[in-house]
Amino acid sequence: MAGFLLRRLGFMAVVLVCVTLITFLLIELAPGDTARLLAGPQASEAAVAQIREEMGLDAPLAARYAGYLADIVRLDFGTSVVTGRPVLTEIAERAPATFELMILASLIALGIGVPLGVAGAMHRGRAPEAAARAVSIIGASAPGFWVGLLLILLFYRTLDWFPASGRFTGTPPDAITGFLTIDALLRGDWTGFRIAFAHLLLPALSLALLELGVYARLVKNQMLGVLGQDYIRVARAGGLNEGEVLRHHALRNGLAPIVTIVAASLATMLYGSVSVETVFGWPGAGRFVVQSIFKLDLPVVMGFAVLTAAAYVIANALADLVYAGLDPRVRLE
Amino acid sequence: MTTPRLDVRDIRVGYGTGPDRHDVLGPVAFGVDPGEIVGVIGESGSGKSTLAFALMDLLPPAARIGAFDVRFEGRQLRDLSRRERRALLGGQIAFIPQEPMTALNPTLKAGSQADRVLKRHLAVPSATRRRRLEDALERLHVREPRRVLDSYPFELSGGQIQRILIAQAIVLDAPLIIADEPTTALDVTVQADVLADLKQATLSAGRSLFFVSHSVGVVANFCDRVLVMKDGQIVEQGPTRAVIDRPQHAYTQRLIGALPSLSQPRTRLPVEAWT
Amino acid sequence: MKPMSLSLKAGLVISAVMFAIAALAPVIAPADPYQTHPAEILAAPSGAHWLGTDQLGRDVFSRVVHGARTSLLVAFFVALIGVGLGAVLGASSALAGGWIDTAAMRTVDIFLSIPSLVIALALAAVLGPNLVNLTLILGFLGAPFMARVFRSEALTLAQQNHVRASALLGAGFGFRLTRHILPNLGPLFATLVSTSMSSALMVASALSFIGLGAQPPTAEWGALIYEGRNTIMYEWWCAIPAGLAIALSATGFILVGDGLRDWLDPRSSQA
Repeated sequence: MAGFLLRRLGFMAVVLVCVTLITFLLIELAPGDTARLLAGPQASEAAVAQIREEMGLDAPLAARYAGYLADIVRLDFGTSVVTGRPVLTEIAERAPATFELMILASLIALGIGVPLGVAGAMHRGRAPEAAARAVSIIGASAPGFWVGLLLILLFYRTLDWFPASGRFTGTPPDAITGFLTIDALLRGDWTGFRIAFAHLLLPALSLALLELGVYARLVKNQMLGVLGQDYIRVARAGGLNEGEVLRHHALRNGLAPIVTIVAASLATMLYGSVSVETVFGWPGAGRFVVQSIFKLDLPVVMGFAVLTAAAYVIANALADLVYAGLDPRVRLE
Repeated sequence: MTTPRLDVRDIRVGYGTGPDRHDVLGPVAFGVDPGEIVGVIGESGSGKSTLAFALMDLLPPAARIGAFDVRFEGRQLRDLSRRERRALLGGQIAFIPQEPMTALNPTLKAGSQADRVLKRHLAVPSATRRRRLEDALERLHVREPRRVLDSYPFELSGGQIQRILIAQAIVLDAPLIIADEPTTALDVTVQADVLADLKQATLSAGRSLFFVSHSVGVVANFCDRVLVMKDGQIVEQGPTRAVIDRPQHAYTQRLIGALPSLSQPRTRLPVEAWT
Repeated sequence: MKPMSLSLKAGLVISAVMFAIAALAPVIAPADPYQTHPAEILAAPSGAHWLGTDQLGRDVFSRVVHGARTSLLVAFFVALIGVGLGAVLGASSALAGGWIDTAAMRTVDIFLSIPSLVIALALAAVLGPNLVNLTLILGFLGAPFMARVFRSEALTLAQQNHVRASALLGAGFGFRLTRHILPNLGPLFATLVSTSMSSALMVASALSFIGLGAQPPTAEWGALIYEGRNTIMYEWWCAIPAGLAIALSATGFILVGDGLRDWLDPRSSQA
């Protein structure tokens, strides 16, 4: 187990170093003067010169990279060209909004996608399998942001059930976690919770659609594979009824790899959140980074890249650990 | 004449529908008495495994059962619902599979899987179930039964896994054990041991054993009666010695004649005889 | 030849129709997609403008139909670059074997551990947002995953006796690659291109939607949805049709990709 952990950690470190290398090289090799890029198009010549001085941009490449890496390790991602505040602060302020969205979307996708996939595998050739297939195709072909617009049209414009933008109407509860829904609950603010949730639901649904389809298809294929195994037949021959076979054998073996898929889906959720946040005016990190791209705020963009890559790598490593916990063959070999 | 424990009057199984339909088994008729070991021999594709799974209602979903007139301990199985038939499995009809290495869930310990099956049929506390299983394993010559049950399947040998499944059948006191070539995947020396254990488990409690095999040699030494199958039909059946020594059907004769023997000169099976 | 499944046939029909629409765009929608009609801003669908007009008075139907050319072309090239590059890299790695293969696959593993979106965003920020850059970026970013897939497939091919024999006879690397390995990867190539096209379409339109791809006034489905999003409440015709077009095309490509995979798989039996 220790060897497994060490190898994983080593791999993670290599990946993260590569990401920093990529972002560093992108800034260096980008067309235009590096100091100008980092200072921003609005900065004065004096400011640019100052940046050049501060960052030691006249030093050789390797030394600059070392400095860059050292800064990142100390969690210094530079300062935003637009606001002048540290990049980390800017992103950290907006991260909870994105996380709240991604978490609810994941829960919806899992909650609907997994049972659909299991049902599809258990009842081959009948309605549940067709439904699972249809959902996975729709999820993969209907763009999340377009679905978001449809949802706005239906639930806001036509039915007026849910709001169309922003995280809250009125005064939001004071932040504890940054998750407005949780914060409202923690403060016993039932009305606040309802408002926050209403704002959260439509964007989360739009974001969940793609993953829902993926889960339905993967779970179904996985379960079909498991149900065809010998030990399922031996278990049935032992007298276990279908429910027991499902609970004790099929689900356990079939769903273990789902853990790794959930981690991988974080990446797709990320790209989805960028467009969904735009549709719903959701003040999250995704929308922020897009705005930063247009404002040529490179430190923010690169900082975002490194942070998200790190989060993704860590999530995958955790998922692998959980999977090793579930399948003894992985950790004992 | 005792009532057969298993009285098969007719079974027909096929695959495909309409013009694509082809039968793989049937019609067949035979019986298995209490305390009897009945062997089924035939080449691959003769339908012997299909017969075993048809008896247990564990055929693949694509299979179409055309006829099924089978009585088990007097009860007509055709009259039972699916659930009732499944309820027979384990407690009344035990199964020993062909490939032990894939017979158990690799992510669960062997003992907990066996216990799950026992729990289904026995209303005794878990400690009792565990003790009975360990006792049965000891009687089947498994050393350190506790450690074996505490292991994952990939940590065990084929012989150990087969013995766990046999022990399960013993603890559940199943009157009929259906074994689908249980020793084919084992080493020759282990084969002999497992067979001896199976025989002991059967005879000691008046159980019946329905033993599928492609090896005439194994069946000759082991079974009381034997059924010879070809192309889904039983071409000959009778007491083992009679069938082996004086085969009546042409196919049986060729099957026996093809056996290598140390005493007699070998007769080579003419190729066209198989077609 | 196995009979084609119903979904494969449906997918081929849908894809063919979408490609035909793109090819015949000037015939189907003769109105100029870039021509503004300031007097007819945000007009509802009518006989003159089948899907109404947008906020600049341009004919929406025409923009959607001509947008097919842009969107489908981008999707096709992204898929082609990704799968093509991946095929060559993967097959070469498998054929080379040894430490080259190991090193290459380790590099791919590292790369696949990085969410490609962030690289795409970073590259777009640096290189400037436009459709050509987007196509190239997405194409190259898709290559590592494809390399993995092709490498697995090519490994079995590379081990075959006639390939090794040709090496002994002096056949060069390039010769073996192009004559023995690559042609046999054809079915896999076709399947992956179809599946890639659907995801390429989705990602490209999503990035165009946020403004990193097609720049106004280019008619591209993602960009059209972006243009229509503020007026969604009362002028739904601006944004909705383009999304429907994306969904239909992607469905077609997915059905073809999945269908081809099943059809070409020698192990799967008739349903």
